[in-house]
Amino acid sequence: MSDDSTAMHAPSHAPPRSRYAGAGFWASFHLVRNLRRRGTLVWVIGLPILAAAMRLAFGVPADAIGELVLVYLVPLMSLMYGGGVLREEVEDQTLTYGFTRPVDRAGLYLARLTAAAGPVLLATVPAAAFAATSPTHGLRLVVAAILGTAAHATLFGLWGLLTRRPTWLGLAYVLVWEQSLEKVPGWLANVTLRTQIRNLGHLERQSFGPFGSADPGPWWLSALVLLAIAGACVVLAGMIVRRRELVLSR
Amino acid sequence: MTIEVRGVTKMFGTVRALDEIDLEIGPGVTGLLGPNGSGKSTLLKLVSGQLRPDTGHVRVLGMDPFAEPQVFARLGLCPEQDKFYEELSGEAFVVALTRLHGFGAREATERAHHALARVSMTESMRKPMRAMSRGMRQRVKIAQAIAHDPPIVLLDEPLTGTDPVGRADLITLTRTLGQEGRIVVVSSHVLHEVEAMTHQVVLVRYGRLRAMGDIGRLRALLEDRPYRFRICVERPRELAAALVVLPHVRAAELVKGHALEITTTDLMALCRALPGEAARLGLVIEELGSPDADLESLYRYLIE
Repeated sequence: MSDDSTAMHAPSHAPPRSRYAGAGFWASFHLVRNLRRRGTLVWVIGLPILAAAMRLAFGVPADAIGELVLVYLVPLMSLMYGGGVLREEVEDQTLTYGFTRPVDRAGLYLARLTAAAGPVLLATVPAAAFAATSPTHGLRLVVAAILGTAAHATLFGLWGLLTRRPTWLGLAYVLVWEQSLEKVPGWLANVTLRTQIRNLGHLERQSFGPFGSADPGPWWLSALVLLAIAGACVVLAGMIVRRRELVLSR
Repeated sequence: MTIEVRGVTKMFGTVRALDEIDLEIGPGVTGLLGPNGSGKSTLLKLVSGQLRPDTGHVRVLGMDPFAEPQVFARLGLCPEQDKFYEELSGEAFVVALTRLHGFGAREATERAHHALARVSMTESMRKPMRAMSRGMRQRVKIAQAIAHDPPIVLLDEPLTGTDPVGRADLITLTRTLGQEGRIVVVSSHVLHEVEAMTHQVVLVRYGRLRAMGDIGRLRALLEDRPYRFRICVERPRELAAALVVLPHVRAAELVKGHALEITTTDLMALCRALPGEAARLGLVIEELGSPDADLESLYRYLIE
């Protein structure tokens, strides 16, 4: 053990800065950790390759690839990565390290959420692009993948703070609730995230005989709705993270 | 520059983990003593802003650690749990956590190296955390707590899992941190470890503050308490009958058949009377001793 006490830095604390200043570093730190996981690499490399192969080698229709990526994989991957965004650290008891740094807890939460959304975006954005029939369509698909991931990851992140089993709740939401609500004739289908994603990505809407399909309005309105949902979920989650004791106390 | 805890109560469901704790801690090393489950870690979690008190308040350098994260620029915590980002090396772990303090990559690395050197981890710092021994992991945990050079250091059971050499090193480091003018709070349930680091102690039991102050002052309490003395003789019953009539003897108890345990309020008087009584009865005293002779007993006495 070094007893060279004088060699310790003379008290020179970190420079004064914003309460959120460390959040960017924390996001990149956890993003790298997430990307180093074997499972993540399979998704990030495998999904775009699969989408390309489906489109180019097997002639699967573009709309079907868009449907698979945006309507199913974006929500499910967002749930997989975003649902346990802080719970994992609470259970691992590593949360203490981040939460005893001079960074706002909401900022740390947002950093972890960004790191969780990273692999989802890296996998789904290129995969969605393979469903494009034109450059404009491609752009809309990419924006739909980004905003769809943002809305789902923040929603599931919020649920992860509110419930102990966000995965089951999320699966029920994606595969039962949204699936069912989307099939309800009339405006109710508009309250599902997938209807907004379909509209933004210019994917075929669900249609039910004489009732017709829901009309969520222009594509940019869907973009705003998804953004608003993501924003609201982040604000709510930030408030919870600031106020709630998240360490395992006993 | 203090840690101030005023009227703090903390409940976990129906369990009262801390009960009306009032405490002020200034520069130097303070030992937070108490058996497992006494509330030491809860108190440190409150001081380090991980928990919020149900009543009362905690202030660290005048700030509420739960609501004001900027206090952590001046506070370092070595938590009790042996948990890390296992895939990282010790170096990467400390650098990452130091960067969260707002230091750039180069300065954070320099500070991390310096802190790791202070805990004698320079040679092993590039090992993955999962490949490190418990003692090494403990050192890395301390390094991340001091790398940003905080004036307040909280060490929750820092000697757990360390070998004797490591323990001696960490004790020296803790003392040095205190001598540098920092507020150092060390929790432990092992009295002699704390005694080796500091003479300033806080005793906690069942969530309540039992005693606080200099160990020397607490030692003085030994003078006023009943004292147990164990005597091994051939016929302990006869000696018990002879001693129990003395005015300062409170009780006499047979232990394991051949030993007698006397509880007295005047140890010196007992020591003066014992040889005469033994000689009068023709008894040879085989062994003498006191289970109350060390500080552990004082600790037990105070917490009971």
